[in-house]
Amino acid sequence: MRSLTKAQIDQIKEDLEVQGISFSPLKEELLDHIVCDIELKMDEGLDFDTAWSSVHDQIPDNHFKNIQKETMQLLNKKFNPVQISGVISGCLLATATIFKILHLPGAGLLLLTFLVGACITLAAGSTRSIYVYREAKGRGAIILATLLIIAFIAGLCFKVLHLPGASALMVAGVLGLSILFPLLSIYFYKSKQKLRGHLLICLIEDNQRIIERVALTLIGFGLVFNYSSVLLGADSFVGVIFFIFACILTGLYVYSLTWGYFVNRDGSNQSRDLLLLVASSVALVLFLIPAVGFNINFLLRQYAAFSALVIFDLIVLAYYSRFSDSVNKKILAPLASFLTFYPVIRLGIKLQWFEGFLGGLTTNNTFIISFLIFLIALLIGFRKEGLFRALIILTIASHMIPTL
Amino acid sequence: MKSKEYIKGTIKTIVLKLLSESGRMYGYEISQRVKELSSGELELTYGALYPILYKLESEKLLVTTSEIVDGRVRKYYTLTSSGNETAKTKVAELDRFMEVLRHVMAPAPGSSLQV
Repeated sequence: MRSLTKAQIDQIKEDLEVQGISFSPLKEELLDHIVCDIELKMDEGLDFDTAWSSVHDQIPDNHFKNIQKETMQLLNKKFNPVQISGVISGCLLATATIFKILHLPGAGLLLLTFLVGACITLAAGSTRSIYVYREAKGRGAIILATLLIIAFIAGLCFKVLHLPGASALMVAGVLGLSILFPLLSIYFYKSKQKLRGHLLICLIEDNQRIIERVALTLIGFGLVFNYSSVLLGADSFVGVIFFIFACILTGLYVYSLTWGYFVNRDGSNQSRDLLLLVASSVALVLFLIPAVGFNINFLLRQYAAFSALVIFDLIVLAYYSRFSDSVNKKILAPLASFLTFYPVIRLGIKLQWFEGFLGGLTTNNTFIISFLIFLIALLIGFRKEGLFRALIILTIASHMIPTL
Repeated sequence: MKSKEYIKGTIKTIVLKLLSESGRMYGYEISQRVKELSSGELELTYGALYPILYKLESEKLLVTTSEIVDGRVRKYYTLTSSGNETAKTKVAELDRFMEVLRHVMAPAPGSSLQV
């Protein structure tokens, strides 16, 4: 039997890494299996390149990545502290909501405990992903991102409790994320398909649905808080906090979807990719500015928040009008362009450009509820369109924040 | 033969059976043996084989040893004693199931499905 040279074996190993296989034992086994397959074909008379290409062509896209994912899930499914922590946090949130609606004492404390629970879930999730994908690159990035998000949530807790250091924590969190995320984008942009198995990429791919469900749950609880407060004649501040959380979470998530594109890009359209990198990063920084709080100038806050949403909308519009293979692209492109106008109108209302019906839209409950129903209908109708779905959730969250 | 939809629930048993007969085998060898025994009708893809092997290993039904072969690592799988017991049980269960299935699928007299 003919044996492969070290250089040929290295070429296959490199391809496995490009395909996202980072778990060493699995990589070694797949390498051995592929080499055996190639050797068999070479014994039948093929040269290495033809044999390798023949074996390679039989492997569907993302096949190896899915094998790794399935293997890691099988190896780690016995005990999942993240799920337990997530369920406890969800129960705390539900109890807090009931307490708040019924005006029972302790609702505030329960909400704070929920925020602490959310931080613990986030930390547990990051630790678990580091453990599950223990051979993948990206530990530092995931630890830093987790700490920055926790700092922001802790800042919010401190603010509610009137403790010193609240603003510093929130600013540190937001500033850190505004620097870290674009740096990661540049890193992935320059990766030349070598970072498909990066921890953050695996984490986002594995948890897309969970992130979206968490955002929708927060929006749901925000709605319950808001409308029960309106009906009972109380303030709706707590509901707004949930919408802000959902908005920030979805904004970061929408931005992180570009990473998956960057690690897979083939470099055939440099100017498009560079434009996406710059536009999305500018949008993210603008998007995070209002999250620092009310220390920022009112006008800057308005322009930043709504410009960010417009840029995100335009990216989705460009995707569905020019690059998507979706069968729904002919509907989604006009819908995305329609949604691009919404933040512009919101900005106009905030800056009092309009008068009459249009000027009072954001305080008109009939419009708020009708538009919310319209967005939910879009979400259900196009639930299989990942990018559009994420944009709709972001639009719902921002739609429900009356005072950005 | 459209075997994919039928084979899924039986891969674990097939792997255990082959290992109980051969002592120790590596991944490629298992897939080739299945192909050979089925005259090419059954094919274990990477995606079907490796997650199962890792699962069986995590359930302590298999142990592994590694050797360097032609400059690369080759991982051999061997059944543990509980793996041997499980192999016997699983093969007996599958045999019984196939027998029941044969009865169920036997065409009734006069049926248009009778060959």
